[in-house]
Amino acid sequence: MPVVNGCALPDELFYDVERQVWYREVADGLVEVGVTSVAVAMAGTVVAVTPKRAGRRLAAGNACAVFESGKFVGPAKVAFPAEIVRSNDAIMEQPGLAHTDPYGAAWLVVLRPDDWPAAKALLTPGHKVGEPYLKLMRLANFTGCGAGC
Amino acid sequence: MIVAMPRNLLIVLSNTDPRNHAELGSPFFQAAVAAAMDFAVEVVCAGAAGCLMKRGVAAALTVKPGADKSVYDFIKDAHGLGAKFYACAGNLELFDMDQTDLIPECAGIVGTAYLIDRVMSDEYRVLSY
Repeated sequence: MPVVNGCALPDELFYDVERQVWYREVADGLVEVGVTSVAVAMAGTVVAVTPKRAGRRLAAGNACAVFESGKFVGPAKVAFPAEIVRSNDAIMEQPGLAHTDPYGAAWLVVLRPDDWPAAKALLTPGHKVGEPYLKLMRLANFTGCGAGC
Repeated sequence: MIVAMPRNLLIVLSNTDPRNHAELGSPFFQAAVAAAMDFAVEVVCAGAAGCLMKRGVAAALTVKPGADKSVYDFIKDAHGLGAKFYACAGNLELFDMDQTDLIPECAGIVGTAYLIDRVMSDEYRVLSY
């Protein structure tokens, strides 16, 4: 698994590096979505996470969830058109999960992509994500996730 | 019958007094959140709040003493996420300013009819402060 400046980026995921969003293939052509440990570390202490509800249609570039810290607002934007089939209520109740389990319990929504093979072609597979992320961190003057990420 | 949710949010600052700094965070933070949620957001600063669209005013204010983030930073965050800002036409005279005095994030001046048209429209929801 790539670890870039202390930030874990699991191999089995697909990444939209620019938007700092990860995707995990799950059963029946669905994909789970979340944001990376890097995005969370950059945001500071997350105080609220609000995923959009199941049934909503998303166009490419639409937010599937919104993160809030004390002074920061940031959307988690999807890279391709899809429908939300599940939404994670737990992260609304426990936004700290974004810090403690960004690739597990802090999933945001499960999507049914209109065309997953085409969508996947837009993403970076986990085993290739190290270098693009390093570049992004340099551009953002981001020094690292620190212990625990 | 299912009625589609409006996609447009109008935030009107009309009763907000910039002398009360604690009032200045929520409207702009809510504008940022709504824009992040992909709603089309317009913020109209009228009355005393109109001066926040004047260059240098919001940059000199913080929501609480000692805060490192200015009110202008909140405006820039919301603007960066897509919110559009306007000053009310009456503010030009009230604050002795013209278009060149507006912060770059302010798209321009709108008249009261522009405001009322949106307030009365089914396509908008309105938050007023």
